Amino acid sequence: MSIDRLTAVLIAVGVALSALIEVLFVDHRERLFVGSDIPLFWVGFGLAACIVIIVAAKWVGHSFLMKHEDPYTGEHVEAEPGERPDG
Amino acid sequence: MDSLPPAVIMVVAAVLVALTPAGIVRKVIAVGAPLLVLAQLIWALDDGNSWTLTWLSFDLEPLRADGLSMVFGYVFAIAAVLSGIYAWHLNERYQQAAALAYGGTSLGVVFAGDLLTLVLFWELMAFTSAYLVWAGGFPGSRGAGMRYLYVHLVGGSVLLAGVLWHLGTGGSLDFTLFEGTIASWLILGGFAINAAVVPMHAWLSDAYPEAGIAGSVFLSAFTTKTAVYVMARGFAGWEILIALGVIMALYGVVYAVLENDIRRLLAYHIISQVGYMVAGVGIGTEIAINGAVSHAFAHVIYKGLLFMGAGAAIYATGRRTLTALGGIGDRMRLVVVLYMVGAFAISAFPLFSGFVTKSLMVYAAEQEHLYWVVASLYLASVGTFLHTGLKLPYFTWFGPRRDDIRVGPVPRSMLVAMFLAAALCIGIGVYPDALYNLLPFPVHYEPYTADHVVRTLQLLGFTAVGFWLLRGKLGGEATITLDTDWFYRKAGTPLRVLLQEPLEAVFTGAQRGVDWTTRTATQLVRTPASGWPAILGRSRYAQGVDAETTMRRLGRPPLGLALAGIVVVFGLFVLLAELT
Repeated sequence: MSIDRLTAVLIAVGVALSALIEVLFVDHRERLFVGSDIPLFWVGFGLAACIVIIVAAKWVGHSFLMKHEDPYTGEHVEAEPGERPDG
Repeated sequence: MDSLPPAVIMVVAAVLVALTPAGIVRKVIAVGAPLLVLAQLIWALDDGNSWTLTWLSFDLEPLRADGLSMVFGYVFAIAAVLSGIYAWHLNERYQQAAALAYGGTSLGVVFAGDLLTLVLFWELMAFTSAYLVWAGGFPGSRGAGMRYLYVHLVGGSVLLAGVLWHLGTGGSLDFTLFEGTIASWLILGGFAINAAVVPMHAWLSDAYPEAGIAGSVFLSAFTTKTAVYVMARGFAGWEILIALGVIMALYGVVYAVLENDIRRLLAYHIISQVGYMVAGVGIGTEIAINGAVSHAFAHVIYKGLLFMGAGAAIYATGRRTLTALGGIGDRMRLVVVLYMVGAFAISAFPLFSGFVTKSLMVYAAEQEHLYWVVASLYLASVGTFLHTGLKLPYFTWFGPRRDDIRVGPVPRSMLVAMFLAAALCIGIGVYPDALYNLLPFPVHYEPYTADHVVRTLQLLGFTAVGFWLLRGKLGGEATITLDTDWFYRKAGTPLRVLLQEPLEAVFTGAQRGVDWTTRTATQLVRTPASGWPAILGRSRYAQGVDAETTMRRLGRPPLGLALAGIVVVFGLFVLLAELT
């Protein structure tokens, strides 16, 4: 994962904007579970959860679940399988 | 009309569709029948309407309308109308009839007041929906349809066993809340299979993508949501459902990361979304049931819209995987826009339906201090937006333009259906009271607080950031992902060798014996002169000698032997009579 300068700046702007919106509009922060009421919690939760889901699922998939050969027919799985449009 | 079960209207319409040769009449019936049901629900049926009858010694209630059944009735009728419009281009009478009957039998389940009526419609639902998978026309449709039917027949049998056990142990025929008996667990097992509770879920992701483009829209609406309905009525407050629901919500998200087939990805998200509802049923409070029911309502519409969008892409290109698609968004802009409305709705963006329904359920978990449930459901929300709102549209429609993909026109009827579904997704999001007022319990909840809106935007906005950073890892891969159906698909061959083939050998042997006896007896009786030599010709006595020579040697033994036999038997009888 490499972050170019533009992406880094946009993320920083997004975080700053989130902080500003929180300060301006949110009077009372609901505590849904431990830590969920700290400032910018949901920014971190969204980003971290997204990365964890992708990395963990891909790891499990590549380690155990994803097969290049169809386990039921023994055929190689095509990247662009021929299909037919159907009604 | 206030005592006519809506299922009857739909099933009669299905029979008419199957018998009608003219295409346009069939299409009008296919959309008109659910519209008639919708009108019946709005103007004729009320809470408390009922129709009872006695069959043998059973008091049956094929129609019971109350707050819970009415709300599912509304959304099923709407789904059938929208799916019917989407399928307007379809000219296959049996598929049209099966779709109507499937919608009708689902309504039959929802309005069933007794367990026998419920089981009847439950089984019919399995057959009618299996046909939609078979009729898909894809290479895998036939096998997937058979597996789908087997799983649902097993589920139906478990349910029937539970109901009979329940009746046999003094239980009532009324379909109400169950207590923790063995019979109740069996009934819950039957319901759980239809709800695609992990690990009994693989039929869904196996079969739905193999149905036709219109068929999968119908399928996405009914089976799992009837299961949510029956759980809400029979098992509200069963705490095991909370854990099972959370597992479903996360399991679907993980598998969606790995999936390459666009409708299979959406199918995994059905499992995830139904997980929210199952968890809500497990919490069981009035708020939680309202949350589960309202989320089911919103889900039927936005998931239908998502399947419609994915189906439109497949219809236009003939391709169904992320690896085979991409770069065609500028040639189907309207489809992309309407799909994205569904994606925003399922992701619970403010002003879209999921925002006002999903949060109701999370609020219910929060009220019960189930913080791990709250955190898990928010985690699943991230996955939902990641896949249905970002991954699928990005790799299906965006990216570098691909001129090698031919994009045909999409029928206007498909776009009309998508537009109507999108309008409902936004309508419910903007004016949630329209849905809240239909719910079984009064709603005292305000989804549009500053905290909730800002929290959601932050969560989803930074999910998008995570996607952008890792988008290189998320593209489709030409693989097949193993799921729990591996066990029964792999078990097929050994089971056939162990169980089916020995039985078949016995039956075949018996059949051969019967055939030989019949053939030989017939031959002997009809033409003894040639029949006997034919038999004796094979005997040791006649070995090396042809049949005619054998016959000459024997003279006419059959007649003489028979007469001798009769005399001997007669003599034995006489002797026996004398002795006694």
